[in-house]
Amino acid sequence: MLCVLTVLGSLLASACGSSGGGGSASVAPKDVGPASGHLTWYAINFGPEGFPQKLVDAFQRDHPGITVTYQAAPNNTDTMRATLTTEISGGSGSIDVYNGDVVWPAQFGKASLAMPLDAHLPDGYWDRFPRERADIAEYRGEHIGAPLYVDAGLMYYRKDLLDKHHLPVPKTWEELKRTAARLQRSGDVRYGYVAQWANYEGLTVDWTEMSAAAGGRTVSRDGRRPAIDSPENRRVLRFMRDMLDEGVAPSAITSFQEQQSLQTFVEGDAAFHRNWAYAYGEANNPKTSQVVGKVGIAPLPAFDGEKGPGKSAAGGWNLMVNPHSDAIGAALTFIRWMTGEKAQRMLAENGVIPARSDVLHDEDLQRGNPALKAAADAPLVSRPSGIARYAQLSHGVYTNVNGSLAGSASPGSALHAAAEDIERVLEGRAL
Amino acid sequence: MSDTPMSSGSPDDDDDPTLSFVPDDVATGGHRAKPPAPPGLRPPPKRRQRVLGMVQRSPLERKFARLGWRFAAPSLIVVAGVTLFPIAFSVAMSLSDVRVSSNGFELSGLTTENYSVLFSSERWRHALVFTVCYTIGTVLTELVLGTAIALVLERLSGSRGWMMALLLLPWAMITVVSAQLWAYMYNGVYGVLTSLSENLTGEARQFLGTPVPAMVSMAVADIWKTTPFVAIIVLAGLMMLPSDVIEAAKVDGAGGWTVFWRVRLPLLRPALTIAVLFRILQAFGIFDLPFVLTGGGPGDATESLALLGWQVMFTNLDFGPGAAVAASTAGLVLIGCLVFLRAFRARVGDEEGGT
Repeated sequence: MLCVLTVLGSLLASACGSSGGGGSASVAPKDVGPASGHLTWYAINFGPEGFPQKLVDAFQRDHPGITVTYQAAPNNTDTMRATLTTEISGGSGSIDVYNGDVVWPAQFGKASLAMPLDAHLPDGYWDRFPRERADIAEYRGEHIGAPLYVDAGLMYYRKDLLDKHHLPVPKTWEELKRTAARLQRSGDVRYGYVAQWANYEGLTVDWTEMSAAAGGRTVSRDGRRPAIDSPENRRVLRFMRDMLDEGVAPSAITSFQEQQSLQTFVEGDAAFHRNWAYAYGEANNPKTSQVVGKVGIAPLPAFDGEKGPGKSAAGGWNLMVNPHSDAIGAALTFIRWMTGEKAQRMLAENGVIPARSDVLHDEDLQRGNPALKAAADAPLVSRPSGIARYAQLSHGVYTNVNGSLAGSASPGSALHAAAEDIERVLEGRAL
Repeated sequence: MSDTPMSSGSPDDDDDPTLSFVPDDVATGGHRAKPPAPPGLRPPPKRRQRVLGMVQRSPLERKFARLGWRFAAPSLIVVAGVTLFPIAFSVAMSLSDVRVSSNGFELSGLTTENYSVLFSSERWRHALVFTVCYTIGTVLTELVLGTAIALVLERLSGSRGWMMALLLLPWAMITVVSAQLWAYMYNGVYGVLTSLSENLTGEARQFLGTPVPAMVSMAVADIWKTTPFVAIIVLAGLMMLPSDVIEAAKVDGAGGWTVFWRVRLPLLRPALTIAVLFRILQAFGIFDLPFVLTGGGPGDATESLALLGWQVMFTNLDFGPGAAVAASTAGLVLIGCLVFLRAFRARVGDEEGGT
């Protein structure tokens, strides 16, 4: 026991005595060094298999002085975050540049896991992105990451079934439910609607979209108070429960993540499906899909009485720089190239939605890719990720909503509990 | 005791067969007086000598001991580096204000704030209750099933090796992989079990979508995987049982049930203790199953302490409270195991005294 205390004491004594309250600005201004050397880029594979390596090859052809190693990250956002946290907070510089989820900037900025980029990039740099997409990469007025690609929630539907029954593409959620139920009754499809309602971040995404479609919010505009316990949101949660109770959504939907909902849709078992832009390619992949050529894309619906279309949750990934990197100069060159027109066109041609406005709205590219057009046109809504404690806040949203969908609490009491959880998060009292 | 403290070992001292070649009279300079054996006990084996609680060693023994320490030192340093330091560091983290800065972790101040956040959190209490109930439920079930399987295996002769290899398959499988298999079977639309339940009851059951079925489904996957482990340990225990005791009981007219309940089971206690201890340690730290199967859901119904600690630490990046979850979990499992050992050991001792 004494020995443990001694170790403890020495650890505490050796630890720095600085107090809290510092922001991302605490990263010491660092000589960024020359734009040459070796880089390690850590990212989940995006686009077709092997696509990141193709980007790296193209980059190295343009910048022979820099070599880049692409290191594949585990295909799970939380696992990747855990790896990055251990590496970077331990002071390692083995990863120089990494892809960071669109909801990470505030948290990573606060924990000094990523370097603020503004001072090192030209003044007009950020104008190449849509305003709201660049803004969500900010923490305390500084850009923590550079947008690499974007994503948006879209509604996929069975074109063939709507045509067969002479039904229009639904513009409201209520209409979608009626249409879906009719298609189910006709026996042409097993389920009406599938989405990501499992107990995880994806439910916060789906919730944010549906809540916005009814005019609701999760947190007040100033980010200080919960706003989730509102009549608009009660309407949304009751509607979700109705979809389950009426069998429009399968009861298994409360354990569906992207993969499960997509599987149900591509097997031809669902009439409507909310997913990210990549689902279009998957649904038209003859190797895995039963519904090739039968899939339409639409913006998300709004609720009755609200102005449509509904907003899509902003998704996607940023490029972030490890503050401990020895090759920050090269990393910045890499970022500028990856957000340049050439790389961004490569993204668009490979089914990834580019972050640059000019490529996003390029009509030639859009003609060959309906998902690109739909994503470019979709009005966006952000999750409240400007709050550094967003991960806990989101947990407060998805556990309570999922619990209510699974039948353990009424919509009213679930939203009340969610509001209490969010309040604790905002006050810094939550676990 | 009639002997002098110079010359006798206390009866509860461990006997050390590796050193028994050193005669006692060497150790004490030739003056010895063997204590009379207490009635009803074997004559005590040779023991090391104690003076006021200190072990007196011969020069040879001391040399051996020094050599032993020298041989062990490298591995002890590794153990200290990879086991003791991380534990001490996480305890230190749990008791201070942790920030991550560009210089790595910064711990400041001595505070119990992390623990008070923990203890006042509904989420932590729920995870604790779930983990404790889950541990008790699964370990008990595994113990019953494992013992039953071991009893069957004991009767087999030629095919026992094959059966054991078959049984050990689930145990040998990496949990993440087997959890993924179970996830396919539990899948709410295409799962084999889902369609089976639809054929049997006319209604497709949801295994992971609602709280109680999700807990039970997770426990089933766990029991499927770890029962073989319990069975093997119990089987080893069964093989070691002295046959004469059982024969004696049979000669005395005891039936199969009586022999099992009153003779074999009590004699099996040491094996059962080990099996249960290992299983408690594992079940209390369960992480991979809920991580793959349910993500802790629905709601936070299947969130274990380990999953909670991981989320707090690596999703929320709250290192202080995260370390507090880890340290308190380790403390709880340690206390649990000690209590269990104390209770079980005492009874094992009673049995031995009675035979």
